[in-house]
Amino acid sequence: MKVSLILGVVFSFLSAVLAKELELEAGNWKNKNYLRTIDLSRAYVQETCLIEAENLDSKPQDVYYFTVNDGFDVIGNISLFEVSVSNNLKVDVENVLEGVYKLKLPAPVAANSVVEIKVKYTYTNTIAPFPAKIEMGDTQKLLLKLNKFVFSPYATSHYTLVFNGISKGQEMELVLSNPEEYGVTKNAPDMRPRVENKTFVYGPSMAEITPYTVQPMGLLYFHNKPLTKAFRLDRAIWIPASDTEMLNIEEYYELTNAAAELKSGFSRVDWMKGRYETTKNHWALSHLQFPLTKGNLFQDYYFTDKVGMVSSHKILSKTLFLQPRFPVFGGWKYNFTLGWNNPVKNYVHKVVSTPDTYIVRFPVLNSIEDISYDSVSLDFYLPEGAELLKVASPVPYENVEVGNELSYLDVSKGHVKVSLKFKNLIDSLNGKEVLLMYKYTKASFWFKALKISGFVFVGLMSYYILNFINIDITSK
Amino acid sequence: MVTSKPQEKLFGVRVETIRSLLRVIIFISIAGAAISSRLFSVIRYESIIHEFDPWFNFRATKYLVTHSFYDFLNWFDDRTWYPLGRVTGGTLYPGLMVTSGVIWHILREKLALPVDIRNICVMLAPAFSGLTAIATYFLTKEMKDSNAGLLAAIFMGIAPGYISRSVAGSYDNEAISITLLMATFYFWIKAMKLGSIYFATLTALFYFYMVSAWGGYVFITNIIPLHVFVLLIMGRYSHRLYTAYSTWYALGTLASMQIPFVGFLPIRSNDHMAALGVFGLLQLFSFGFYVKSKVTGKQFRNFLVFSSIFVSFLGVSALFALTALGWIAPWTGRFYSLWDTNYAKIHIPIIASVSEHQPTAWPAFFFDTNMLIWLFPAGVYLCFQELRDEHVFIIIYSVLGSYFAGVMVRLMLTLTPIICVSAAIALSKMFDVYMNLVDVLKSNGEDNSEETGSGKKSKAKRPSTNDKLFSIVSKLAVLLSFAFYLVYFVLHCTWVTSNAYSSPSVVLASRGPDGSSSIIDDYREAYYWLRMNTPEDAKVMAWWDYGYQIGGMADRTTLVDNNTWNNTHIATVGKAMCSSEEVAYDILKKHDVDYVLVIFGGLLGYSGDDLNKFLWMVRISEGIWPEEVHERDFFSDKGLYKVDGEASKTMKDSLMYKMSYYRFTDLFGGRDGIDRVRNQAIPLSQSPKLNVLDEAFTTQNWLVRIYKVKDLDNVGRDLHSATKFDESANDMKRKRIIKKPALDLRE
Repeated sequence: MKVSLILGVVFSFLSAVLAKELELEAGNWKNKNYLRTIDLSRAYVQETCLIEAENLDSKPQDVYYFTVNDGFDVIGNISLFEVSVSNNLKVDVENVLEGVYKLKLPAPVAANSVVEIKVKYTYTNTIAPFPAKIEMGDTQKLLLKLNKFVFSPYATSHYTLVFNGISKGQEMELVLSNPEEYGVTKNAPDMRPRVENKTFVYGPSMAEITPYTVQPMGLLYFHNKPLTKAFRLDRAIWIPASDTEMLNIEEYYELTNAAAELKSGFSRVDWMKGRYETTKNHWALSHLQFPLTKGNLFQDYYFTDKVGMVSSHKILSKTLFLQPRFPVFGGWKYNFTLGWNNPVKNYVHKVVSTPDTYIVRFPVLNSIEDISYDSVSLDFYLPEGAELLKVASPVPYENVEVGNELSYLDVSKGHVKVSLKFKNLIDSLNGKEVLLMYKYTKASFWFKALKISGFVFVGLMSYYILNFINIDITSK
Repeated sequence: MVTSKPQEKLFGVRVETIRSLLRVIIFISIAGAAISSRLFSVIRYESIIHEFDPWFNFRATKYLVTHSFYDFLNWFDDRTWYPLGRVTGGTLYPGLMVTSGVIWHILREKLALPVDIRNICVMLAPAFSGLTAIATYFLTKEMKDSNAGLLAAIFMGIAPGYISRSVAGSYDNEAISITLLMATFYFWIKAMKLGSIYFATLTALFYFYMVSAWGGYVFITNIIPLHVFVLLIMGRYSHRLYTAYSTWYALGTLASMQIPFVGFLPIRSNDHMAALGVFGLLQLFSFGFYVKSKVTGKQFRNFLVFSSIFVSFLGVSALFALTALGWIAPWTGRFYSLWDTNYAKIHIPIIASVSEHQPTAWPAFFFDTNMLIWLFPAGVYLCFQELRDEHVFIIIYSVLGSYFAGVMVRLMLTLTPIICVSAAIALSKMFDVYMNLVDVLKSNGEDNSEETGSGKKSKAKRPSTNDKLFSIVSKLAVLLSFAFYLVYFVLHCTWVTSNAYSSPSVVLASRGPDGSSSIIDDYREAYYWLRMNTPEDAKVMAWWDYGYQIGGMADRTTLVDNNTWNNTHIATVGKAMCSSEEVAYDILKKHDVDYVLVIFGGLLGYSGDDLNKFLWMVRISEGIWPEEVHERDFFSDKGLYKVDGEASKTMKDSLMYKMSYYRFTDLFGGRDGIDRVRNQAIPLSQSPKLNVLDEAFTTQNWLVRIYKVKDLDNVGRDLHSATKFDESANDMKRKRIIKKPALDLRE
C-alpha cells in the first residue's frame, strides 16, 4: 500500500512544494527507534542518526526516504552525507531535493521486520556566535539553532537527542517571527535535558512523534575555538611531463573566521597580556595546522601572500604550523598561498596494460584541522599535449572543466587544465582521493622538445644570416 | 697596442679572433659580477620591491600591463590625494614602466615565459646595470683605448655609488637612467668625433628614452650644450660639431616634447634655454665662418664685433622679456636648492625634509667610490694633458658632477660614472707604463731590431743590468700595490653593497638575544591587515612617506603620498597630526578619513618613526597656518624636544603624541613606559586618552598603529562626553550582565 503524504498543516514550506511536485511515494515505515547524536566539537555540525525502521506495509519494501532534521530552513549547507545499513552493504542514495534523500536499501525488507539505518551528515554555516560581538578576554558562546524533534516523513515512537563535544550548554527558547509559515507543531512532547557521560541528553521520549514535527530550539554552548572557514580554495597540481622526481602543489586560500567579532578594535596590549597566542585557547585564529602524513611531508614548502613572503612558519612534531600575519578574529579575512613539493611516485602511476596511460591518485584536500570550505577547485595541470581519459571522485563534485593554460615554454596550446569544482567540503574528507586517468605519448613529449629547440635554432640562424646583410652607407 | 699584425696566429687561430672572444667573455663576466652583486637582498630576504618610490612605479607598471597604453597615459588616479586625485598619466616619466611592460609582453607572448611582473620589476635594475657597464666601456674606449674601457666597465659594474640605486628591488627611474645617460654620452662623443648624422640621431633617440625615464635628463640637456660652448670658446668649431649638435638638438627636442609630462617645457623652461642658446650660437658661428670665407680679414673683424654685441644684447633682453611675460617658466625650487643649499630649508621645508636632498658628507665619497675617488683627479689631469675634444667633455662632466654630488646626496649617482671613467683612464695609463716589461726583457739580450716604438724606456740610454733589476723591482712594487688596491676595492664594494645598500626597508632584520636572525615584518602586517579587513574604499591618512606603500601594498586610498605635488594638502595632514583632538576631528571628517596610520618605534627602538619626523609636520603646517601652529609650542620649557613628563601641553595634546603612546604604559605593568628611541620615560599618569579615535590595529612590535575614526555620535553629543559616558556605563553594565538570566532569543 502506498500512501501519498500530503500533510499540509505540518509540512514545512519546502516539503510542501516537494510533496506537490513529486507526489512523494514515501512508503509505509515507522521509526521504531531514532537516536540522533550531534557532535559540536568542531567548526561545523556533525549529526549521526541511528534509525531502526519497521516496515508497516504488507509487502517487502526497499525505499526509505530520509529527510534532514530541519523543518524551518535553519541548516546551512550539507557537506557530507553517508549512509550505511547494518550489514554494510551498499545503499543507493539519491538526493531528490535539497534535504531529501531517497535511500534504496540493498535488499527489500520484509513486512513487519526491522532494518537499522545509520545516516551521518555534516552541515556548515549553521552555528553562529552569540553574542556576535564580544571583548577579547571573553569566552565565546555559540548558538546552534535546530529542530528539537525528528523531521521525518514517518512517525517515530522512540526518540533520543544527544549533544557531544561541548563543555557547557544551555537550552534557549527560539521564537520564530513567522511560526505559521513553517508550521511549528503545537503539541510536541516535552523533553528535558540532562547531563550524562559528558554529553547533553534529551529523552528518550516514548510519546509518538508525528511525521514532520517542527519544534525550534536554540542551544547555547561554550566553544572557545575559532570557526575557521575558507570561502575559496584553489589547489593546483602540476604534473611533470618528463621523469622528474618532484611534483609541485600550490594552494591558494581565502580564509576567514566565522567566530565572534571584536566589540572594540584590536588592542595589541590585551592580546600580549592574555598570552592567547601561546595558550592557543582563544577564538581568534592565530595558527593554521597542517598535519604531515607519510605521503605528504610538505617538502620545500613556501608560504606567501599578496604582499610577499610570510616568515612565521615551522614544522614541529609532524605538523606544519603557519602563523598568519595577524591573528584572524571573527569577520576578519586572510588570503595566502601555500606551495610545496612531493615525490611524483606517490601520486602518478603508469598503467601497465595500456601504453602511454597514466593514473593520478590525489587527495581532495590536504586540509587544515577543523575547517569548512565553501568552494574548492582542484586543478590538475597535465603536460602539454596530454589527453584526459577519465576522472572519478568519491566526493561528488559540481562539474569538471577542461581547458588550457599557457605556462613556461608552452609553445603550442599549453598545459591541459582539468579542474574539478567542489562545494561545501570539510576537513574530515582529508583522505578521500580523486582518480584521474590521462594519456601522454612519448611523441608529444619529443614534439614539444623539438619545437622549442627549433625556435631557438631559427632565432640564432636568423641572427647569423642578418649579419651578412651589409647596411653600410659609406663607399669602400 | 690594439693594432696587431693581421697574420699573427696562436695555436692556429687568429689573434684578433681570440681577442674578441676574450672580450666577449670579459663582458659576460663583468655583467655577471654587476648583476650578482646586486642580488644580496633577494637572497637574504625575497624578491620584493624596496623603499618608497619603487612601490609607486610598481603599482603604475601593474596598471600599465593590465590596461592599454593609452589608458595608462590618461590615467587619473582617484586612489591617491583624496579628494583631489592625481593626473598620474600626465605627471610621471613613463620610460621605466613601459620598459618593464615591454619586457613582460615579450617574455610572455614571444618567448612563452609568463614571468610575474613583480619579478621583472625587481630584476630590472640589476639587468640594466650590466648594460651600463657595457655602455661605459664604449664611452671610455672613445677616450683612451679598450683597456681603459674594460677597467671602466668593471668599476661601473661594482661601484657602490651606483649600486646604491640599482640593487634588485630598487625599481626606480634611476635604475635605467644611468644606462641611458652613458649610452647617450657615448653616442654624442661618437657623433661629435665623426660629425655623423647617424650617431647624432642615435644620441637623440637615447636622449628621448632618457627624457621618458627620468627628470635628470636636464643634466644631458645642459652638459652637451656646455661642451659645445666650451669647444667654441676654445676655437674648435668644426662642421662635424655643427652637424652633430644641430641634429641632436632638433631631433632630441622634438622627441622629448612627446612625453606628456615634459610637453612644452623644452621651449619654455629656463632649464632648457642653454641648449636653445647654444643652438643659435652655433648657427651664428656657422654663418660667421661662411662670411669669413667670402670677405677680407678687416671687414670680418668689424662684422664680428658689431654682430656679437647686437646678438648678445638681443638674446639676453629676449630672455628677460620672455621670463617677465611669463612665457618662460622661472627656475623651480629644486633647481635653486642646487645652488644654495640653505634655500630649501628656508623656503620649502618639504624638500628639505627628505634625507636624500641633504648635502653630502665627505666620507660618503670614500664610502661610495673607495680608491676611485683619488684616481679620479689623476684621470682628469691626464685628460688635460691630451685635451682632445672628447676630453673636454670628461673635464666638464667631472666639474659639474662633483659640484652637484656635493650639494645633494642623491646626485652622487651622476658623479659615479665619470669617476669610474676617469679612474679607469688613470689606472690604465699607469698600467700601460708599468706593465710594459717587454723592452726591459728584450734589451736584456742582444740588440734587437724588432723593438716596438711604444715603450719609452727603449729610447733611453741602454741601461745596465743593475738598473734593469731596479726598474723591474720598482715596476713590480707598483703593480703589486695596485693589485692589492684593486682586490681591496672589490672587497670594499661587496661589503658596502651587502651591508649598506641591500635592505628592502619594508622588512627589517634583527638579531635575537641568542644571535639567531629574525625578521621584523610589521609594515607588511599592517598593510595587509588594511587590505584584508577594511572596506575597499576606505581612506587612510598617514604621513606622506607611507603613501606609496599604502597604495602599493594595502591598496587603499590615501590623502597624501611621496609625489608631494600639493604642499597645502600635506600641510593639512600635518596639521591634523599636530593639533588637538577637536581640531583634528574636524579635518578628519572633512576629508572622509576612515583610518589613521602612524609609525611608532618606541617599543622596538626604531628611530625612523613618526615622532622623530614630527617637527617636519609641524614646520610644514606652520608654513600654511602660521597663526594656528607654532613650532615653539612643541618644545618643553627648556627648549628641548621632550615626550616624557616635561613635554609641553601642546605636545601632549597633539593627535600624533596620543596615537603613539595610547595604552603604551600598560605594557610596563604599572611602571612608567620607556620609549627606546628617545630614551625618555612616559609617566603612567600621562597615558593619553583618545576620544575621537578607536584603536583598530597595532602590529606585533608596535611599529605601525592604525586607528579608526569614530563616527559622529548618534545622539548629537560631542565625542568627548560620549566617551566619558561610555566609560562610566561600562562598569555598571559588566555587573548587570553577570546577573542576567537565560536569554530568550528572538529572530
